[in-house]
Amino acid sequence: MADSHLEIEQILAGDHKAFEAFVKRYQRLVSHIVFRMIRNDEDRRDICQDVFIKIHRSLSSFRHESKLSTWIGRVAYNRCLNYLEKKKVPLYEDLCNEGETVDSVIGSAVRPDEYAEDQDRSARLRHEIAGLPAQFRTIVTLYHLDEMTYLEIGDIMKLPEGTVKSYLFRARQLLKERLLAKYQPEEL
Amino acid sequence: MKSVHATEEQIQAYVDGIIGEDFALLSEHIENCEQCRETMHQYRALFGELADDTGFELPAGFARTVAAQVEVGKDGAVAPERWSPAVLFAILGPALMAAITFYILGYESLLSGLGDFGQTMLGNIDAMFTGCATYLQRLGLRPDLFLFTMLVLLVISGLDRLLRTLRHGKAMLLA
Ligand SMILES: [Zn+2]
Repeated sequence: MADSHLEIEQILAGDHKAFEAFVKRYQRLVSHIVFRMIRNDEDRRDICQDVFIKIHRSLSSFRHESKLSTWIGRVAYNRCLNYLEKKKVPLYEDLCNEGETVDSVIGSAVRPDEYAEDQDRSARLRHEIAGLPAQFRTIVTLYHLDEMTYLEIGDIMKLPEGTVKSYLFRARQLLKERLLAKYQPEEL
Repeated sequence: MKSVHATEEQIQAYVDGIIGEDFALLSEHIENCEQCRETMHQYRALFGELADDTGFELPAGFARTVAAQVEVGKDGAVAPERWSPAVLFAILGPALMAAITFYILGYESLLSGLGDFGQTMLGNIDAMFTGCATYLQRLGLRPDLFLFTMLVLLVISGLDRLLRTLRHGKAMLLA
């Protein structure tokens, strides 16, 4: 991996190619967050683009105090929150205070029941993930796809490490149960 | 110990490879208990599927498009915001207006205006009104008037654009 100091200097100096390489390297991370937070397919791409333009604009203020990937994640996550706020989409976090309410929130989370029975398992999983609250979806993805630690995820989402851990646990337990409850009987 | 099943949380941690103090006991139980082993396999399969990176596709050439966008921004809205035409008009416009006024009114009235500075506020305001009246009288329908009107319009549009730029900048900061 390229030295981030050097790369940032090149980008700040106006190196067009350096920025393109930078976007290529981090577009996966940004798309993971944006696609998990935003349901609207049409807006996702624009938001990903916005995120990188914003990053380009504020790259000079990056102080190397945190990992570059965490900082990028934070910009992406905040952009999504801003979008959801404008669209008045409620974040489940606002509805629940402590551990016990997390359960009630999950219980009431939207769970569309229509699905094609012949879909393969990964499509079923994607369907179940889509039924989770936005923050749960994002945590699961950052943990399993971007291999981030609880601390790094918490840094991006401004959540305590313990909360990240418990959300991740609840989300995965829920996914397992839903996949089993829904699909196992047919498979037996 | 063998009769107590591992909790869901423990099994998840086990599959994650997070090793706690009770790892040896936990591992022994899970490997020997059919029920816990079954749960462990379910989680293992789930975690494997969660590492599947499909459904996040951005269009081909995304990075190139974004980099090009930033390049365009360079000459427009991004860094040189401070020196955009809006700002230039906002600064140069009033300066030019002052210069034209100064030219039309002449040096004497300006100097006498400065001399009046020590007088009361009322006196100054009075002098200003008189100055304006004289000024308008002197302008008549000369080309200066046209130029002056143009400048006023430019300044107004310049200020408007400046305000918009600032508001936009603020919105971007909040985003
Ligand atoms: Zn057991």
